[in-house]
Amino acid sequence: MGYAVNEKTSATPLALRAEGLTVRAGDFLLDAVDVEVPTGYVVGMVGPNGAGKTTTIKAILGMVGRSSGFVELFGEPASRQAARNAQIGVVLDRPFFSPDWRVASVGTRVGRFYPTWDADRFAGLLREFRLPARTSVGALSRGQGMRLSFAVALCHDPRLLILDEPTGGLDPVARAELVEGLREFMVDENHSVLFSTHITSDLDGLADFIQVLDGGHSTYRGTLDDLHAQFALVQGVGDPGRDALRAVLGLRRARDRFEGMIRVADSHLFGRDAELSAATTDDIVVHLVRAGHDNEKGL
Amino acid sequence: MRILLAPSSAMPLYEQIKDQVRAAVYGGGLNAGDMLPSLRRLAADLRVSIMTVTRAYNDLAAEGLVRNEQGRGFVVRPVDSDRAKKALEERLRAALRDFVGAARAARLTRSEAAGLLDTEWDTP
Amino acid sequence: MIHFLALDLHGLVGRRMRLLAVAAMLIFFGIDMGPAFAIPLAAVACVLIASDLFLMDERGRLDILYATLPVGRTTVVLGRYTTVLLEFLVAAVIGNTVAMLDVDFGRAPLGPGMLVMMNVVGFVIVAVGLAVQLPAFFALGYTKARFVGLVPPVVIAVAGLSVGRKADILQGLAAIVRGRGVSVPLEAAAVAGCVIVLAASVLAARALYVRRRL
Repeated sequence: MGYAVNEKTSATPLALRAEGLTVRAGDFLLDAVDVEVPTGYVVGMVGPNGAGKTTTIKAILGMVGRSSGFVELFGEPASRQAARNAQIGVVLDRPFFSPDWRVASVGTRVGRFYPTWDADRFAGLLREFRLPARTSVGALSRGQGMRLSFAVALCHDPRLLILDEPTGGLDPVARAELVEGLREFMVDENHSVLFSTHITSDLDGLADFIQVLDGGHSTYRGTLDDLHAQFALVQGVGDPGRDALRAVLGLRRARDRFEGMIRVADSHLFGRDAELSAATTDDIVVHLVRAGHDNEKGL
Repeated sequence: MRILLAPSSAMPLYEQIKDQVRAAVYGGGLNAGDMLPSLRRLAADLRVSIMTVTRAYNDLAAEGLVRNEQGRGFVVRPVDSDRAKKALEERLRAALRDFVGAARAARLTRSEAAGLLDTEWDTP
Repeated sequence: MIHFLALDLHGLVGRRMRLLAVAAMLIFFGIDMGPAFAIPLAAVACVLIASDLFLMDERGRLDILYATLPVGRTTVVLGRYTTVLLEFLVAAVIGNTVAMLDVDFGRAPLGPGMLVMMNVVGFVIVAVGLAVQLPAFFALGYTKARFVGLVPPVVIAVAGLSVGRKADILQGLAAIVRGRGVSVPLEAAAVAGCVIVLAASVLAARALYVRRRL
């Protein structure tokens, strides 16, 4: 599937460029995945569980070794972890602090590693996020843990935030709060975000670019707008014809009804009895993934 | 200038932004030399992606309504009065089409519709 | 590395109850077993509690934290070895103090030769114990490596007990020390050997930790 980026953004400097990331882990293979995060934009990475989102992010962060590929940050090879990590903030699905540490002490413990650490900002964020400073990390709720991770990730003034499934298991209020925080972060034009999630609605109105991963492959990369402009849902009754059916991604049939997704460019193949409708990001991801699985099965 | 979006509207979000900026410029809410709200600030406030606002602003620049000044942002250009008039007329016509459509759907007579218009006109 | 060391030592503060318990155990055994025995026992205690740091890493997913901090994995390895050796230093000070108090109470004579020898023995225990344990913990993490981590303490305990039971061996050892004086070259060689073993262990731990998937 083509990589659609318009001329304007391809000229934008890249905060992150990863090329041909290949990781073998048991039966799983992350197969030559490319990732690009243009400076000043939000890239959402979506796909079902086990698609390779976490492995991709861990390979970018040097947490797992890659058998091939390279990572560039802000135009320079990201070979030295120390230099690389000084400029990025990381939020994962769960906090990575000792459960015995008190919330306020996390700032002291982690902050000493960064010359740019802003202790006042950390204290301010704890208040803003309503985090109990004297409680231990282990006693925090899921949402509080995520807010603490987010606060820690922000206080050394990173240029790039990398988030891996931060919203999993969160209630809608906590999710909205994180997304709001990311919007504030993005007001600075030098900031960029890479955000993986399987809850695609987190990305609506936030992500500028989207990348779909499935089975260790990257199956779509482009702007979210293009994604929506490119695909539509189709459903109808009867037989629309061979060519038309072949154009349907993730085709499902029940009795004489058919439904699936098509490229808008293929809409002429369908007669007036077929009904076209706009697809949500979720619809598109589901059908792209389904189409990939159908291809594998040789349907 | 206030921009309000209707996320459920059939009109794309960037079109809604363009529409409202246009209305403000032609209606006198924004004058030549005024700055449009910062692109990134507006994106955060409206809860839309940066690219959505970028697209709206770039379209407006292409229309000649605003210009992108490097390092400053988008500045409103002096309004070409012919175009402003045309744009306002176009808006009015669109509103009238909606009005007439709604009136017909409600099976009003022409004079009943005109009466409604008169009442609305006199309401401050 | 100083930042990592600070983080590690900051974490130790949380373990002070456990450290106190180990120290109390030391004093008890040290007094019971005779002069200067507190010193090698302090070393044994050190080897026993070294795995604690890795347990805390695993509980708090701290390996992930280290991987997000602006420090390399080499720094983590060097910092961790330094922390453990600092622990030994503190334990050795406690052990020596207990030994001195023992002497002050007039329960046993303790020559400088014996004192030096016991400290060398302590260092050998720590060096060998850590050299085996730490690379395993760095390679596998606490849970998977805890059995490997148990090997040196068990060996030390078994050896210590069997030696302790045979009082005549101890007496012979003491006689050698008293009779011939301290064999300085032998002790120097032992210390040098241990430093080399530790250095090799650091290199092995680094090579293993760099490859570990977090």
